[in-house]
Amino acid sequence: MDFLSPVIAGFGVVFQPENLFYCLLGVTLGMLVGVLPGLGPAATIAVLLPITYNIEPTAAIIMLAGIFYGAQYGGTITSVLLRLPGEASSVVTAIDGHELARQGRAGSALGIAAIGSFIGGTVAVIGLTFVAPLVAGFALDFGPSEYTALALLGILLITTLGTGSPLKSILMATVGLLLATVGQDPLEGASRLTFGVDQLLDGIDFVIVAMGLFGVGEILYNLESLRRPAAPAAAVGSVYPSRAELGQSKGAITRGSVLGFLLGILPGGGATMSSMVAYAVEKRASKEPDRFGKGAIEGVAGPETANNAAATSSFIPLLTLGIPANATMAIMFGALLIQGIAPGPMLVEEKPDLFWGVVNSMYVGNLLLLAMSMPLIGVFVRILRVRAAILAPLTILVTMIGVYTVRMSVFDMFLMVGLGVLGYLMKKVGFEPGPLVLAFVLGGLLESSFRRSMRIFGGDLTGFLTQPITATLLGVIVLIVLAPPALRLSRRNRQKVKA
Amino acid sequence: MTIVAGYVPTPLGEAVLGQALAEAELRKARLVVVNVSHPGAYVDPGTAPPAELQRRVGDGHEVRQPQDTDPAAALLDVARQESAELIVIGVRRRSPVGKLLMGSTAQRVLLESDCPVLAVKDNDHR
Amino acid sequence: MTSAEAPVPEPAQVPPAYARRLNVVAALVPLASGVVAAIMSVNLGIGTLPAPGPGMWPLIVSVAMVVAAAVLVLQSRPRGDEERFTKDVVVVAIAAASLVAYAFLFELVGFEVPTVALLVLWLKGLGRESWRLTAVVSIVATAALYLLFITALGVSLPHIIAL
Repeated sequence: MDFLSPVIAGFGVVFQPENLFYCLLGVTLGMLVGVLPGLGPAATIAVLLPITYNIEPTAAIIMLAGIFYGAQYGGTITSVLLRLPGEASSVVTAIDGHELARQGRAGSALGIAAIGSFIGGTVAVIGLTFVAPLVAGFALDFGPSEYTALALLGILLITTLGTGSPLKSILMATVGLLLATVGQDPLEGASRLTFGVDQLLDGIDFVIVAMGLFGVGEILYNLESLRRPAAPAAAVGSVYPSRAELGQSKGAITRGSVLGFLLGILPGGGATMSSMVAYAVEKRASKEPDRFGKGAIEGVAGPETANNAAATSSFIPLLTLGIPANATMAIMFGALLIQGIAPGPMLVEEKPDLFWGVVNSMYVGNLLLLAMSMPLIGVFVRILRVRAAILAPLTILVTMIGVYTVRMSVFDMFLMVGLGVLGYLMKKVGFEPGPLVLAFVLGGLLESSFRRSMRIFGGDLTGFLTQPITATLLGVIVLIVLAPPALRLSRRNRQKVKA
Repeated sequence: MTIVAGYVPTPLGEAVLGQALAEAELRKARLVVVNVSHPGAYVDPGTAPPAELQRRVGDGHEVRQPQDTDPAAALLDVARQESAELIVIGVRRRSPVGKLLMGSTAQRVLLESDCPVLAVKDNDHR
Repeated sequence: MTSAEAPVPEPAQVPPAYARRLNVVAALVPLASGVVAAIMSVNLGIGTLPAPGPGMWPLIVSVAMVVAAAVLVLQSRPRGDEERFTKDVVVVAIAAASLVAYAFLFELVGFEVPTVALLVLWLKGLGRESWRLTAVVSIVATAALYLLFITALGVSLPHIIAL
């Protein structure tokens, strides 16, 4: 098969010792940092981003992908042991996972999560291998108007499907879009909203936004709980699930893999939504739904499989359309740009080594995750014993020095601290940084494709409706905007009828 | 009549607890077991599971788990509040260099306590 | 077994009136910034739809921002994700100020001295760790950062100690 030869060549890239090393390093670092509940995958990648600068692009992206899975699994550890989910996608894991931990079966829960993550991730990579080139081929014909609609859809979906209040998320997205306009006008070179500051002429670097809002913001926020009371060290027990537990989880892992893969492709919710749906599905599919909430192993296996599968398939829109599906993928997008790689439909064709190298590294990453998480779980749990007062200055220093290394600029440090304070304040008043960062990343694409479309359509806004794909996407956008209020209205009417 | 004991979930701590329970029995005194929890981390190996500790200490005696970065001060505080007649603590055997480096909670309790201090040694772990 | 009961107490319930005030203030800031940005965009030149000027896109975005912020001012009901500002804000303020000072000193005196100073401030001042631990962690961490960034990654940070 002709199509498969670059895929196989990609394995050659992965199995270069150097790339294997960076994959291993990424998974380990991701797990170590991700186990800290304050730092989810997005923040972990943001903080560790500068370390990947001086590495060759393929290795750097392989390492970042490794950090991503590692951090994802790290969140599961705290979810199960402490009922403190590291990120939104393991919130439902905490329900039954922590109950299992209280019954002394924390090890089983973590073991099954690792096995589920491995299977879900692997299934999703196989799916990605076949779906990604199709999507990319389809997207080759996309013009500016399609990209305008796609970028708009991506921003809208994260605001509506995300975890926060939709109105607050939309406000944050506009802030992100506005921040993206700072600097020179991409087409005409006029300096915009720079307040006469020369360092802002090139625009605000994405890395600074991500590190400031996610990294510094989270660290400052966590400083409030420097004297948080500690929990007694709980025994983890055997991390190798019993045959019975494996049998119970078989169905959940199968369903979770498929569900996660499909939901992960959608922009917006991705891992979070898929884990929640998987939990609901498992509860419904179970013969004894009463066990859920009281330590059902399927309640861990389903969501954990699904969130890893979704995390993997959310690479599809990023790598094939250049549209990140969620905040974590937005940071990946930024990381790719720094390496001089523009993700989009051309990537598979133009840089097959990089594309398939990164995709195939995900098999290895998942395998490494499985191989390391089970025996090393005790090591990662020990990180939880390190006091926040010690961790906070260490992470902040890596972030501060890291941001300096991007452009050797002290100005960037000031900017990042400013954004960090903004991130802290946002968190206090219930604004999420995710939509802001995603909108910031898509801002440039949205503006330039909007302006190009306007030129093509001669300034006629209805021109968007003449393009079939664009019109369909815009129709979906209208549906998303109108659906929730319409549903609310019909529910209210029904209640009135009942009354 | 109150006895205050400093407890940590280690073999030495268990020896302290055993000795303190025996003293309480002997003196017909109330025992207050203090397990100082070091705040700031998600998990602190020095913190004992409260329910289990209470069960082992038994009814009529008390368990306290103050959050403090300075265990000696926290223990002395409880002893003062309770006007304790005796403090039971554990002491580890250490080389002179070890003492210099580690500084000793036990030493501070010995020096600053207002009441007699019973120092229990960890004989199994030299 | 209540041993592993959630160690972090649920954040204290924020009174609705407080959360509402918080939301209003939080919306007024982007509202005002949006108005300023809109004015600046107009001054840049909007152009026409077929030939947009540099100010058109920022204008569209800032108008959207003003509208979203205005709706939030009107619908300021609590959404359950607002948090009360407690005296811990002081810790955060000190931390942020120390980071500004760190950046300020970074190129002036090299990275070693500010790094040790920041570690001492955060460990001893904010974290109230013991002096011994503060000293050990500060020195070891500074050395590790030196080795990571300067020796391993080959980044030319301003430094005074040459190896």
